[in-house]
Amino acid sequence: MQLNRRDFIKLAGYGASLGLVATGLPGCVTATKPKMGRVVIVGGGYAGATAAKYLRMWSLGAIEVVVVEANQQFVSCPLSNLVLGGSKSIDDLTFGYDVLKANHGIQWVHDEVTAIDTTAKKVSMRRGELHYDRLIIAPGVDFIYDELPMLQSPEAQQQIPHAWKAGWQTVNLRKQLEAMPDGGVFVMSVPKAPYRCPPGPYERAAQVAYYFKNHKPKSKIVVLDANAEITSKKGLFTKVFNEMYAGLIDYRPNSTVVDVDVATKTVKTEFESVSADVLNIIPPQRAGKPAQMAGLNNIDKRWCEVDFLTYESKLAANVHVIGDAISAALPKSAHMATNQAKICANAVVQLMAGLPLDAAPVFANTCYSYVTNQSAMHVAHVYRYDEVKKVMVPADGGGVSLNPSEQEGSNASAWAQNIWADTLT
Amino acid sequence: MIIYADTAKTKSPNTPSQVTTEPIARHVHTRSLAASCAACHGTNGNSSGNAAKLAGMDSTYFVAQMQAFKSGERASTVMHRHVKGLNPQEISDLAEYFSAQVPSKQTALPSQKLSRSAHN
Repeated sequence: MQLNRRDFIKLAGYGASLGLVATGLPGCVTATKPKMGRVVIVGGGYAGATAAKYLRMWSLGAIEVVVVEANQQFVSCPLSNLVLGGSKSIDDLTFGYDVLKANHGIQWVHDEVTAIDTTAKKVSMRRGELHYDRLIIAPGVDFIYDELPMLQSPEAQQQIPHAWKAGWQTVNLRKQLEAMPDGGVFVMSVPKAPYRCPPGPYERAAQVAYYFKNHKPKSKIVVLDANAEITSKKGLFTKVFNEMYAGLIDYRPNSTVVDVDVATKTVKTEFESVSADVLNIIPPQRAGKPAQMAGLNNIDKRWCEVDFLTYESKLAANVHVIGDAISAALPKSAHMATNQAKICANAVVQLMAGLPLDAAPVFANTCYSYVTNQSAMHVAHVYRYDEVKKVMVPADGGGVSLNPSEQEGSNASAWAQNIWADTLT
Repeated sequence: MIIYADTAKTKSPNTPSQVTTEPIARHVHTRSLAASCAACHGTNGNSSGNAAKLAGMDSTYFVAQMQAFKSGERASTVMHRHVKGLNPQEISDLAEYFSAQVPSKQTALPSQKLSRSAHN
């Protein structure tokens, strides 16, 4: 197959100077009006912010990018369990968007999306509306309170924070742990998979154990897991719970929370009643609200079905969904969200230029969990597109650490610094 | 720009207006694959911290290191896993891609104090 001259000129036209693609100069923003159309991105988390940056970089400024985000700041969920362990503060994980916007010429609307019309190609917000040529929805997760309606109010969450979106709830949970007397009981629940950050709850248990071991050694942790077993890094976490934190963590599988008494912090499962001094319920989750507004959460009424070459929704043309909100046999992690954002951005640039897509995308994913202030362990895989199954599948060679180590803690810290810089500068 | 330099060398003198799509397809494949390395190695390989800076790295050296990770000759925590998931063409394309990137200093992170009005 060959490109004809007209196609080549089209390619050169959007590339402006193809040499720039190779050198990939960050911050090269064209002064001219974008030629290829407008992409609106709903959500400025790991997925949305990354998609915005790479669309601008790879189109060399030929695509106009508008991000709509309700929060003024980016607060990283990765590493937020270290706030509970006491070795990080929430300010270590909090960033602004100004550098990203300025470096890449991204337009930014600080507003909340109220409606999405995929037929009229229109996004409505509290203070206006935007039309798009293509839409990328990166909404993160929304909590499901159908089974636990008593936890929905801000007042209840003041008592029993989820702390599963980093921010003030993380700070609140840390303060409750600090205020708890030695000998107290911390109870946390894990929802049935899939949920955001598969190893996150177990990392949380380890971080709280790290804090208790050093400051409140008579205290206990009860983990009520709705799943039949630890859902990620199982062998490693089992070892950490039984050896590093022996006697501190009481892990109970097949324990779905069915009722909560907010005032007394008492949790009921199908089998038992457990009282807590500090209680952390991580609710079940589904695709974030903007995806629901567009009616894209077709899988179990929770997650969005997409094409893994483009991340275009199976339900709406010209609308892409990336990050935790999609239905996939892929972990809902920050690195994964940025990978999907890049495959999506790459495809959107090609589609808007009328050029062929990458027929079989490949990406690498590394996920660290900290088990002390300094030691971490990984799970790492390369994922390759399977042209028969039409999904991403793990390639040979992936796996987990033999043991947690300080070397990997240092790698995890470098991971955080680099993914923050990649997403936010 | 390696891809188009290759194209210039290989195109037939009788068809000056045509280029093969194969190198372009490889470039499109490589740039998003290379971008997945950024979580540890920075945007376009411009790492901060203790992961190797890949931007501007000599391509022969890059390929040799990847082979050493694969064989276990060079010890690693995760790289031996990643290299086993890539094919030889991808490793050589990544080597060329990163060697063509301009080394630069990472911009400082836009750190802030968590605002009182923040959600969550």
